[in-house]
Amino acid sequence: MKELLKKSSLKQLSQGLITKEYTSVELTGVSLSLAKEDKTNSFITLCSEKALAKAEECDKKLAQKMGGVLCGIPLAVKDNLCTKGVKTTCASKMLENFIPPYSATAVERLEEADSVIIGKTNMDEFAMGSSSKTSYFGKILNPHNNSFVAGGSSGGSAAAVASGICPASLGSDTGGSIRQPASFCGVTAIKPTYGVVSRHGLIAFASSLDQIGIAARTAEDCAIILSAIAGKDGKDMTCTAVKTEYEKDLEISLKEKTVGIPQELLLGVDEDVLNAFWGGIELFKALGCNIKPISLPFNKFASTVYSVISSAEAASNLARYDGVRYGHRAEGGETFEDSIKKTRGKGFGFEVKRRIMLGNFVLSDDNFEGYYKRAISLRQKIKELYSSAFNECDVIINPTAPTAAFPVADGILNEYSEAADVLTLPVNLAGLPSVTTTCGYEKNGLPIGLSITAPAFCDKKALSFAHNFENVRGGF
Amino acid sequence: MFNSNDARRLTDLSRLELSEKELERMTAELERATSRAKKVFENEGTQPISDSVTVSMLREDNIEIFKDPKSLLENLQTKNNLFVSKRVV
Repeated sequence: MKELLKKSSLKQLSQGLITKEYTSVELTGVSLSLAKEDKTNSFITLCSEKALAKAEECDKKLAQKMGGVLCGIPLAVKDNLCTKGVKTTCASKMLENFIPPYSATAVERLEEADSVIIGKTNMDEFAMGSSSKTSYFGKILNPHNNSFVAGGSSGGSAAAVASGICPASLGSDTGGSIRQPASFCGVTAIKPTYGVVSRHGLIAFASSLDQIGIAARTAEDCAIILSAIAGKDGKDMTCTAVKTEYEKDLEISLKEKTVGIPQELLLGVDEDVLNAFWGGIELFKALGCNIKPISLPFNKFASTVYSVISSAEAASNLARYDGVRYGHRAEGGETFEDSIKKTRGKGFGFEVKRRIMLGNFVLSDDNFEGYYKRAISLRQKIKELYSSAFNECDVIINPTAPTAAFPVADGILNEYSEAADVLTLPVNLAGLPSVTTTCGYEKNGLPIGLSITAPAFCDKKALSFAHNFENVRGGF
Repeated sequence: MFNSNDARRLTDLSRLELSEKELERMTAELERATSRAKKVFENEGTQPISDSVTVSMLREDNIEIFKDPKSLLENLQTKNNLFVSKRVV
């Protein structure tokens, strides 16, 4: 049963439940025991009792031939997505004991589709990081080789899928936080267009960039989950997409479709990554695609723009954590203000404090024009560059990260982790959909991913390209 | 130039209490981040950002590495099978 769970896609597991090869209680039990045995530290909280009770309910539905494709399937959810009655820590001391009174819309929709939430996955604190080493609950290790990082910030969500604990999981993506760990762990992931999935109940980091994403074993599985969680929501006014069946008709002919390869996004990329990437491009050529070099000359400023905007929004979003209404409250403090400073000083890790301070720096009177406004105008330029690039091609493909997973032993802020999001964050600045899938392995056997980016609200197109690619690539 | 006084002012503004050690590290980190941002934003508009990029950097030589998609597929599938069965912890 363990091997079955490790080797099967969500769709295959669903078939097995429908044909009664096994029950949801059995599947969930195995999933939970794999999570308990897990050596990568992928989970912060397991919801064993709740999950098994839900699985029992699902078995009853399945016995009556009711329930959809997600009925009875064990899934995991990143710990920055609110889950009613279940601890949601954001991997921070600040929210160590926070139990939300409501669930995120995406979680609610998964539950309505009868999936079984087995637990909350570990992550970088407040989703700030590219290594999953900033978690208050300990770092996450790469399932392929425990000496390497799982990537971040949704490291737990990607590692749980790669380790075979569950076939899919929810994460979030502010600058590559679901795609980069998916690439490091060798799984598929999608960051949908900004506005496709409701952010209600996603603990905010940078609201204009945040988007809930999905990690799974295949693009088709990502599409199945996206169909369940996407669509308008009255609780998030930026969520405007109409409900779509993303998994329907994914298999299309890619003949004569044009794949754009941005030359600037290949600069500084590791040779092993480039080799695997060009191997992947060969497969697209074999599928009939035309390959066209394009130019996206924002490589020298995109990460700075991201850093300024995301820090500014983080400073504003995280101002609410004062230890008064909820969350950690430090002892001592002679005045009200002192108490807040102590609480925030002790409740947040260094990386979170660094981003709050940088955010307040760029938002302060003296620096607003020179930094924040400049960044906002360059963000517009990035959007325009993408827009003109899509006049020349159907999708844009580039390596997901400039390197494969880097060693755990390196410091939290190092050249690898700083560069880790450089190829994914432009997509967040432009609000576009992007899917990463594995295109090869480097010399140590660590996976390498390529990213397929489509125009806004063409999420299905990106998934179709990935699905067709995975069909010829095989395996997962 | 970002200095420790700026960092102290920002800790107040951010309602954070930092130890002296943290403050020192934070000053260095923020000096690095802000000076890099300043440099990037100053250059923007005055010189072409992609002036050093040429088509040859597309590494067309690498396109030739995997001439035979069949062998690549076999390679990938072997590794992927390893991944789902043996590599996983």
